[in-house]
Formats: sequence, structure tokens, C-alpha cells
Amino acid sequence: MSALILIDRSFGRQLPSLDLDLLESRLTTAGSLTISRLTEPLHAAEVRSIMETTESHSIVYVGCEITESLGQIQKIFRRAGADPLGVEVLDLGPYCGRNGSDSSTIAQAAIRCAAARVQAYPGSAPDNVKSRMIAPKGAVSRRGLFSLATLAALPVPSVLRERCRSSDGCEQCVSACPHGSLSRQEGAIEFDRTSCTSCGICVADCPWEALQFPRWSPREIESQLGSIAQTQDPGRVSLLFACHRAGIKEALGWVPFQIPCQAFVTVPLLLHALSTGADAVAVCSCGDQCENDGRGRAERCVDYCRNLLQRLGDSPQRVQLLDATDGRVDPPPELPQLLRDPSAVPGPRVFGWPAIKESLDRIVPANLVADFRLEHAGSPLGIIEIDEAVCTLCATCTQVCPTNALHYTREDRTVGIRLAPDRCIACGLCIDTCPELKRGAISLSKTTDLGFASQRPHVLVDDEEVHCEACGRPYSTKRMIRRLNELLGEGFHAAIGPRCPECRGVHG
Amino acid sequence: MELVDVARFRQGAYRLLAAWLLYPDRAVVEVAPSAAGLLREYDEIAIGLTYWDSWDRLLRALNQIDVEEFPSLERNYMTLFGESRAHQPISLCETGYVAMPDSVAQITGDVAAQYVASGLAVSAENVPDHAAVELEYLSYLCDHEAVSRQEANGTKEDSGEVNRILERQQSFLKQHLCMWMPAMGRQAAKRDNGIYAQICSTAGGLVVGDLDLVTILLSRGKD
Repeated sequence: MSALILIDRSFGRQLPSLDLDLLESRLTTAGSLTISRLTEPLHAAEVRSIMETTESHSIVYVGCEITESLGQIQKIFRRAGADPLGVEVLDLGPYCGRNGSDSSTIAQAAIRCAAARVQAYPGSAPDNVKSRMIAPKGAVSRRGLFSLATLAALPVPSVLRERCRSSDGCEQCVSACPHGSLSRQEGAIEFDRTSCTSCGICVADCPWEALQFPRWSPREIESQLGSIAQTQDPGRVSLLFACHRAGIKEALGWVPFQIPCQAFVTVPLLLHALSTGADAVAVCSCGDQCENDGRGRAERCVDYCRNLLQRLGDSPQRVQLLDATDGRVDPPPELPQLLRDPSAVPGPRVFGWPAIKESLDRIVPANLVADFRLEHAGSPLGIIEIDEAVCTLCATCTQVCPTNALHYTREDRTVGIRLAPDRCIACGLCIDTCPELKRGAISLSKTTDLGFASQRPHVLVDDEEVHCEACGRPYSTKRMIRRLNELLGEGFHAAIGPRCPECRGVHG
Repeated sequence: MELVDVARFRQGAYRLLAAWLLYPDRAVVEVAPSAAGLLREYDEIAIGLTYWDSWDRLLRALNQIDVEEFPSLERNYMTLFGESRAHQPISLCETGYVAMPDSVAQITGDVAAQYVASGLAVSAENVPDHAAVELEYLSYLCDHEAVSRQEANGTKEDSGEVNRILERQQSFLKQHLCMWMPAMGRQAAKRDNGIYAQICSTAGGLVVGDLDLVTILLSRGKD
């Protein structure tokens, strides 16, 4: 499907150093992009006419120092017959300096990135869209009290029931949400849209990609990253993951990549951006007043990536957390360029538990994988250890593990806990729920150990089942019985007899 | 957008949908084009809302309806909501969408109680949780809101009354309409693409979008 690039009249006027004809020819060379220069200020009739002529509903609107609000622009595109969430509004003014010589590379990369997004846009149902009022700047007039400003439409997530593993115990999204918008009721995830702020943290944390979030869906993000590799200009491509509330006025040298919140960024997202072809990446937040308390999370994620790069002998400056002080963002660092990977179309997975190890495997050279180890609070992988001498095989950990990294096994009369090392996302739920934690039954280290993560799934502890002498059903394990005897006295099991709880009741 | 006009638009939208979700009535079909024309006057308001696309298509369809099509409208209605050997009818009642049978009495009781608290009573011909009745109730509340806004002069007492009405709207949307109407809309859209499927689909999107709007209005009112 071809993407339609609508170039506002302001673009050429405000950026005289940019050769629009050359930019257009570079963009259209690879196909699948149609460029149209608007002849008048943005209005629905012209947009509709162009859409009908080009038969395209995947739109990127490119301007320079766009003054209309998001709500006003969405209204125009709605009137033209387009889905506003499927339209990417790209204001390149802050990113392309008036005299910048690398404006062409930035513009090309940004437009390609935006086009990839709209082409991958999955569409939206009413459940996925929410009206939001963007607070007006300055004092509100008395007249303003009796009227309603134009509302902006933002996406909200919806649960994909067929992929959701909440019935297996996963509630990662519930834990991740800073506003309590998600809850788990009778094994199913319920969503309260009134409190949702569209931060997308639940989507970033879901190990199963079970949350639909159009505009920032996994496919759209991955397509955007894949497009970076297609940039033909030899100049640097430094990606700025900018929260849409950051209020950026100047960020020269960066290519914008809009995100719903600084906390949306994950380690795989940053690492994939680098491995696909970005020379540097930065997360630009809306500051410490983030309504989603995302600052700490973004800091841990960025710091982990910096440590990782340093361990690999590369500059940690390739990953930064920036603030837009007075709307201005520091320029990207001058670092050696990285090779782009043109085969990465669409981009690699950035969400879901498999994305974590995949992203690390792409960035850590193969000869270093076996010995690579990095302990860090922001590690996306963890190391689980079970002390066989202490564990009673109650298997509570397997019931709460969101990714089935810990899995309960049964074969013949032997039960066990099997670990799939590459699935452990260091969430800590197994630790929180282990009844024998104080005795050291289980431990978790927030450590990226690629040698460990590359191991095949293996059993950490196993034991023989104990079967009821009355009905024959298994009801416990030998180590559990031993533990109960320790707690209740040796005579406990002898007193009740080797019977399951139901048969104990019947036979007395 | 003046807030009074927003309330009037919502009143009209809910009333239109309520009328069309009852069994087809010639009188309603006859006035469909003029009703659509009246609601078009609020396009400037509707276009800023998330359900605009669906709403716009519905008004266009209603504008072109001819009363001569009445028999086919009846057939279309029965295809979706009538008993048939071919498929299960799509329920027009909230209690048709609950997972737990025990909740049926609770839902109808709660809905009826809300009507009574607003000074209304359900007529004998309709069940309290029927789509038309629930939507008509929202229309009533929006009318009440518009009147209160017109009478209000920005005083604290008057805006208190408006907020009370908005809270009632929010509560009913959240606890009832939004719990089932989107599902009804999805089912209808899967089954058919006629006027009644459009009505259901639009109603499903409208209640969700309206809940957001009411929440925004309430948060402004409390500032």
C-alpha cells in the first residue's frame, strides 16, 4: 500500500536550504511513496481530492513549525475522510535547521519512518480511541468556560483475548499500569478507559503482545525501525524517542520518533534501533512531572543500555536520556557511524518476551555471547536459581510466572519445575509468592547472562509424587511431606495417613 | 463549541438511535431524512468526536431512506433481532450480554432504580434494559443538562447542578451502556451491513466516545 506524503507549503519556505526536488526523488525512488505538495493552507477539500486521486489513506502530513493543534489537524483529516490515528503529523521544524547541511538526511529518514508507520497502521475500533482535551496555554477566558476546545483523539489499548495469558496467571499489564486502569477479574483482564492516559506502558510490558494499541502497535514500531535501514543518504541517523508531550522546539540533528511516554521505551526498542541503523538514540521525556511516573523506568532502561555498550567496547553516549529544557534538546553526539542493515524490513520484534534475547543477540557479537554477563537493575533478563534442598515443589512460582519461564512438569510419577532461561524477564513475581523464600528456596538476580539465557530449558528440581492410598490420586510430593513433618512434627503424616485431603475427610 | 449545543446534539443523537432501535415505525422512517438534516447542523461538534466516521455514514444513509422501503426495513430488522433457525438473534437488551445469569435481576433492578431516581418510570411496553429505553434515558439527561446550562450563569450552585447531571450520565454510561452496546455493535456489523447494523455500530461507538466526553466535561467542571 502506497503512503501519501502531503508536504505543507511552510516546509519549503521555512527550510530554504532543503532541496525539495532532490528529497522527493530520493523518497520516491524506492517506490510505495507518493508525494504531493499542498497548494493552500491545510484544509479538507484539497486533502480529500488528493486522497481520491492517489487512492491512498495512509498519510504523512509534513510541515515546518505547525501551529494548528493536534485536535484541529485531526478534525481536518476526519472531514477529508481519513482516520486521524492513521495520519502521521510530522513537524520537522525543530529537527531540520534552516542552514543545516544534513537536513536532507534527517528529512528523508523522518519521512520514511513516518510513512512506514502509517503503512503498517492496523486501523482502530471505537474501543481503541479516546477523546482528550489538551489543556490550553495561559488563562482561560470566561467565554472559554462555556465552550469546548477541539478535542484530540488518542489511542487506548484493548485486550486481544486470544493472545492474553491472564487465565494462566499473567497480570504484567496490571502491575505495569501507573493508573490502575487494568485489573484482573476471574482470570480475565478488564480495562477502565476513563483513567487511562494512553501511556502504553502496559503494551510495552506485555510478554505476549496481547494488547492492541493502534498508532503505537508492535507492527508499526517495527516497521518504523525497519525503515531506518532504507535511508539512502550517507549522513548520520540519530533517533530521538520523544514523548508527544515533551514540547520540543529545537532538536537539531535528531530524527523524531514519537512515543506515548518515556516509560514506553524498552531495552529491545533501543537496541534494535541501534542494530537496524541508528547511530545514536535518545529518549526525550516531558520531564520529572510525567503524569505516568515514567522517569525512573526510562532512566533504568537507558542506563542499562549504556552499560551494555560500554561492556562491548562502544561509546555509552550512543544512548541518552534527555530533557527538553525550554523546549531545546542537545544535538546528537558525534560518534562513528554504524552500518545500516537493509535486510531489516520490516524491523525485528520489539515487544513480547522473545524480543529481549533477540535484541541482545543482534547487538552482542557471537564470540562474546557465551561469557557475556551484566548485572543491572534495568536488566530485561534474569537468572533464577532454586535450592533443591529447600524447595517443596508447591509450584506457586510456576502459577504466577507471566512468561512460563518457570513451568510445572509431570512425567510418569515425577513432577518438577523446568526453567526456560531465555523467558525470564526478571519480574520477581516468583520471589514475591514463594512461601519458602526466607529459607532461600528461590533467588533472582537481575543479570543479563547470555550464556545462561542460551541454555536449553532444563529441570531445576523434581521429585516423586505421593499418591493417596485410598483413591490413588497424586496429592503431594515427598519433599512437601518432609517439610510438613518438619513444621508439624514427625507424627503428622503418620497420624492422618497417606491420604489426599478429600479422602481424609471421608475416612476420618 | 458551546456546551449547550453539545448537550443538544447529544440529546438528538441519543433520541435518534433510540427511535430506530425499536421495531420499525412508519412515522419514524418518514421523518428520517429531516431528522438527519437537523442533526447535520451539529456537524461542527460531531466532527471533533471519535465516532464521527460512523455517525457521518449513518446520517447519509438516513438522508436517503425512502418510506417505500419500509417492508425491507422490517425484514432487515428481523434478520438481525428476530428469532430464526439460521442464527441466534442479536439481543437488544443489556441482560443479553451478561456472563452470569444471576446478574440479570441486578441489572434490570439497577437500571430501573436509576430511572426512578431521575423521576421517570418505564412504560409497560418496554423492558428497562432495552437499548431504546437506555438510550432514551441518556437523551433525557442530556436535555436536562442543556436546560441547566442555559439557566446557569456560571454561578457555583448552577454549575453544581450541571455536574450532578453529568455524574449521572457518566455513571449510567460506565455501568450500563458501555458494558454491552459496543459488543452489540460488533455483532451486528459482522452479521450485516444494512441500516440497522449501522445503527448498532454507531450506538456502540457513540456511547464509548460519549463517556470520554462526559469525563472531560466533569474534569473541567471540577477545576
